[in-house]
Amino acid sequence: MKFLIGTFLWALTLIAVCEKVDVYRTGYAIEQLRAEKKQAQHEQRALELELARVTAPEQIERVALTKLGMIRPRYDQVVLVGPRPKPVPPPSQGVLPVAHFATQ
Amino acid sequence: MFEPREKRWRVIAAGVLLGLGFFVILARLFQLQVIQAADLGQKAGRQHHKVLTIEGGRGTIYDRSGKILSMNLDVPSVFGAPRVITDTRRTASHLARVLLADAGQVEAKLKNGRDFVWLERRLAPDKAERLRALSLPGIGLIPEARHFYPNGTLLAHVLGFASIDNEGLEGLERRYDAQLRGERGHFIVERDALGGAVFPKGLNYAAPSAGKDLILTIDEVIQYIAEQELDQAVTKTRANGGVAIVSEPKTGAILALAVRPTFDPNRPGSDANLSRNRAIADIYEPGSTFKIVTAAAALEEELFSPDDLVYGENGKYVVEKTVVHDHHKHGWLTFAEVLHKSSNIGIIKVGQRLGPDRLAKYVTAFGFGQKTDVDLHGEVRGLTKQPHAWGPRSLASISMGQEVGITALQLAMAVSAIANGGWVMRPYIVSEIKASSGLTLARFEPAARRRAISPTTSRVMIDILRGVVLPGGTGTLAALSGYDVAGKTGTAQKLDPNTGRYSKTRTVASFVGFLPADDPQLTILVVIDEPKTEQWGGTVAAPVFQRIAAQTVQYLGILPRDVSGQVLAAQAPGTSKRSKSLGKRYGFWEDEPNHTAEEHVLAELDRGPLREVAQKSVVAGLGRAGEMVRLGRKGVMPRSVQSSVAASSRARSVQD
Repeated sequence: MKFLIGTFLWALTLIAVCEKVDVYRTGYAIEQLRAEKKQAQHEQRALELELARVTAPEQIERVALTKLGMIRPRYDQVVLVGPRPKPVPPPSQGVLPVAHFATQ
Repeated sequence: MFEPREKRWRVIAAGVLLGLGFFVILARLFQLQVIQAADLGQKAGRQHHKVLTIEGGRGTIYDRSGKILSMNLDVPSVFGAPRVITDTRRTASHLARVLLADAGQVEAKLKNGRDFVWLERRLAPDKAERLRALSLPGIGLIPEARHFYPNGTLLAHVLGFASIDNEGLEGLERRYDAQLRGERGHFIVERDALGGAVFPKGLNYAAPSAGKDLILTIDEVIQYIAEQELDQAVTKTRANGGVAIVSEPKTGAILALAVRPTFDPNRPGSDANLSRNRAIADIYEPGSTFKIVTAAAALEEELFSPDDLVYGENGKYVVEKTVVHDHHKHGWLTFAEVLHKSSNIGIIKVGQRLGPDRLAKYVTAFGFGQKTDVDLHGEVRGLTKQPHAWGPRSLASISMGQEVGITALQLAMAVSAIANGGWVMRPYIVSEIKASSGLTLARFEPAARRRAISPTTSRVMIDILRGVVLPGGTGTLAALSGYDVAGKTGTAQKLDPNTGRYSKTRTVASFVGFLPADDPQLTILVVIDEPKTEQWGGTVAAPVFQRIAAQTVQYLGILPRDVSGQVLAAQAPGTSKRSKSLGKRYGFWEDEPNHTAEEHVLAELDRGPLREVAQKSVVAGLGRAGEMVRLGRKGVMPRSVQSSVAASSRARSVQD
């Protein structure tokens, strides 16, 4: 009987320790993933910024004129084939809770 | 063998000892667990738990098609822990080589005996990389947020800039600081033996809230066009500075606002002269462009019709003992020709018939002497006087645009009112505020402040102003083939501070106009301050207007018309069924230009005069399809300060 109880307690302790170890291991993994996510987000923002930098109108014109040998068209060299669609801002996610501030 | 007595004594002694020991332990436990519980608990918490603070990060600013205009990014800052550093000299020399600093100074910083010292904040990425590779003991890198403006000087005066401590100092960064600024968050993690974070304790997590993003009405490309053309004109004429504004007359949305001289918000410097937004913070005497107001007032009061004759006095006219000259001598002119030829004498006579009270009424109605309520920081009201404070020559002076101080933006909005049927719109630059998740928190819509003139007067004025750019007018260099341009030149002499008189050499040359005249889509204002090579608005500013207009209509796809008014694009090869469907697929084509809603609302507005509007509280929105704005009971927009305060507080309440 004593042996059985002893074994049972021992097993319980082992399980508890294993659980705790597991919790810590998962904790470390979460922390690592969090750091990776942060790093990835940071890199994404850096890339977005770099994209904005290289697609700035001034930059595009510089590359077009100096590297690609393009020239600015004269006014009469441009023929419009139709109205241009209105610019679309980045899509809004979710419902519009409030609008029309310029009222009252 | 022990005697029973001795045995009992020993048992008692052992019992007492054990009891005492137990009591001591109990007392100690009581002391630790009850008396010092709070203190020790905190201490333990400090050792086991670590509080991580996370900056919310400043919001991003986008142009109207989603191009990034300013953005926050974490960049490393390098610090030293002097007490940990063993070989200060060697460390300093390594650091100096990477940071391109003086080794002596770095060493002095590291020797100051403190626990922590900043060595350089917000490093360039390559420097940070080299420092990381060196892995010097006692030297570390911490990420800190820095605000970047990827377009450099583009739109600098509108964007403004934020300080190193994430505080908006100028422009939109200041005006919308409360929205752009994020809130710090923190969470508590358990520490391991080495002090590293193990895992977060879920309940103690306070998420940082990232700053909100702004979507502007500005179009990056139009802004670039305006800045380039303004730049060239200012350089070519060796002017002191200049302003160019491109806006939508029907909505008041600002598409471009260029100011020279300029600065780079990435390195703002301390010269307020460069960072001042001259379009809203500087007042100037407009000169002839202001004749539009006098003429519109006279038409609205039905004192003149376009064909009525005004005598030009052959170029010399005495007003209150002062001789007023015209640049060219004119005899009889029609009312319309007074504006075409920009006759000072003609417009003075118009003003004289109008009288001080009525002229002052329209000056106010067009929005002069009041802030336009644009959502930018640092706007001034301008200088206008009430008739009782006018001098004997004031009526004549104000009629031709002297003795009034206005801002460039006020003039752009006044001329937009001529273009859109009489409505003075509130100019605006921010069209939306979004949470970082993409959720729209606030949307700003076009708002009319008041009606200045009737649609009929507006149509007549448009017709007259078309003549300014036709042969014989002063603004022929603003004409653009394929488009009806309406506008007005201005050449204002500046007051010489030394003599107190108007200078003959120092002028403000300007041109303000809109196009296409029959359905105005763009109002463009160009102001060049003190051009040195030439002086006239017609020769200095009108060509800049024309070049900005030419590129902008082509960029926006505003179709030209031939002499008979036919849209020229109909002849272009893209109109076949096949190319139209291809065009649609690639986004070049729309079925219909998106004007109908605007026209509908404009027609709605035009049904009754302002008085009726005041009583009825009508829907008075202009702008994109389906977007409407309800005016207040008086039919007049309240101060933007109020609306924007309301906007910011509501934006916040939504976010909360």
